[in-house]
Amino acid sequence: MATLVPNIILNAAILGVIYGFLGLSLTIVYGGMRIANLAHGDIVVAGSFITYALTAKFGYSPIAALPVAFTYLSVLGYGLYRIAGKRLQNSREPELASFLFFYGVSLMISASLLFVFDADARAISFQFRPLSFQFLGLRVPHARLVAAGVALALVPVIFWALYQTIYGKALRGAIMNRDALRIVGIDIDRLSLFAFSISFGLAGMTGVLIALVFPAFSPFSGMDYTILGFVVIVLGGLGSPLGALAGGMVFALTEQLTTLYLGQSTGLIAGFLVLVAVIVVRPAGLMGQVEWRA
Amino acid sequence: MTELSQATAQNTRKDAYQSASSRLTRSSLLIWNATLAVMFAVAAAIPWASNGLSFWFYLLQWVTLATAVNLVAGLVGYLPFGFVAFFGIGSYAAAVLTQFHGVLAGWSICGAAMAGTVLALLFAPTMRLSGVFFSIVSLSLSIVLKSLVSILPEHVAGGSSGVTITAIKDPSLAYYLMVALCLVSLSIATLIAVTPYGLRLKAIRDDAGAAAMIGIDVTRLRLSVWLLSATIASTCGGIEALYSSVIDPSASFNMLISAKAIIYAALGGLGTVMGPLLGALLMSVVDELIWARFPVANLFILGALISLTVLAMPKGLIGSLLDRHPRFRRWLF
Repeated sequence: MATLVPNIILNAAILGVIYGFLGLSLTIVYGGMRIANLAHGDIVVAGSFITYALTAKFGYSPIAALPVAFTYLSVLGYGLYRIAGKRLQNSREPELASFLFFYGVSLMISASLLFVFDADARAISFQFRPLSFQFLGLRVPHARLVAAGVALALVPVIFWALYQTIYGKALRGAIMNRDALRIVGIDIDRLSLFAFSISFGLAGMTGVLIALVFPAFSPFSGMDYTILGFVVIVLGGLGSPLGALAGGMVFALTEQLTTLYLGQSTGLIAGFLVLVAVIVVRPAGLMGQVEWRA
Repeated sequence: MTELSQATAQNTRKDAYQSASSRLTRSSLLIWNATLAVMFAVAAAIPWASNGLSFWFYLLQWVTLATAVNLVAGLVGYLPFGFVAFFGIGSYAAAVLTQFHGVLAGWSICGAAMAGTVLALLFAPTMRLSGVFFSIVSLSLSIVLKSLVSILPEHVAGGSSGVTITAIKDPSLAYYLMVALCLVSLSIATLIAVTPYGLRLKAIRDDAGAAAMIGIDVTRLRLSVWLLSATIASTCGGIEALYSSVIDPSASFNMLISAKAIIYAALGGLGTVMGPLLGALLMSVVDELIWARFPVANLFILGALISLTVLAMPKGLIGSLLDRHPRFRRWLF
């Protein structure tokens, strides 16, 4: 028990980073465009399956799947935005319209994955050597360490892009006030197209990391990740990149520690109850600045 | 003011003018009531005419659920992703009452209705939230409820394997109860549409601040419609439990039930009375056809159909039709 608790906390922290990464890509699109991407989890799972295909069929390392997943899925995002983005944003209720549209997209993606890879749960067979590391009495699987490392390396890049480049600043401006952004003459359609493709690419990379961390995935696990992503960003505060990371960490810690002390099925309950409690006390989420109006 | 918001303001003014100038006429209501009467006469006759009761039962279930969710989503503007919580609690209330406590079918349905009302009162504080916050909290609560039900001891609620009702086995009774519930919920929706109560609700949906300003009790009206919608859903869940006689946590609290109810209502037209009915009827039939015709690609086709419909008609069948031909407002609502 003495080493169990620190071990759980360490693993929860790794999970938290990945959950936060999941929320980060979702918050870019939801915050900036008010598009509720219900297919987000399916993009993630598509990323996992790309990893599976590359490692099982061609014997590549999962790391090689990162750029592949990013490229393929950002092209998908580009295409989807070209087809539907403008129409959805201009509709009277963008949230509802996008919710329905992406539910359809989610069904199409799961159906395609089902067609190509069958309904069985898959796992990547690639193994890092050594299998796990041991230090200070803690044991961490090598794959988890790699996943957390990749996420931790990418997060500063994303933050740099969001806070230092002109595109990132414009995007954060869009999160705060879309109409004002038009007034200062920013081509919001091009910006949205760009952000949308990036978000899809990042979701694909999240899928690669999730394939490393979780033992199995199936074409139908997409909805779980969509829910998780939304929970994380609502918990942290919509449109707040830092909030997404904090939300991911809080959710993962609550879930894992409750599982340890109270048993398997209580973890998720505790995680969701913490979400409800936070929202009731602080309706804008942990780091959100404004209460989002419907 | 930007060009965009000016255009929106103009649109709103146009809409207000149109709905004021074309109140429903007596004859259009008469036609609607007659249509409902014919439909339900057909529904009541189905057990004699057809052997496949299941398709019709679930058709009515979806009409009921889409109508119920439309009360909240269409009239108050909340999108409850966790709407299934009410359906599930109703299923469980009915199943536990009949199987473990020997309660008669009719009373167990009353128990299901009450369970839904109580749960809706418990969840009422979430209505302070708006937009996606409300939707996600609602979804979370339904997942929490599902997990709680599955960790209850087996003699209380059947545990994770669920409850099998052996005490009562009468699908045709359940079918008639569903016919009745469906009729009741459509009548409630119609009543709301033609009375001042409905007008006040629509005012709240369009601008809660302005509605409060002219003296509408926003909180109380929202709560009343929330309770109404939840009670219909839980009664529906109770009847479904009696019909299928097998329930378990993952089926009774399946998120797909919320999603389908919202999608059917939205494809038909949120905020209208006929929309959810039309959407549920059409999509149930389309669903059935696709599954029969394209066993491999069914899911893909269903997804494509939903996405394309939303792009072509963002306000649903009825809503978009009314946008294009406002003169139909006399007949469609």
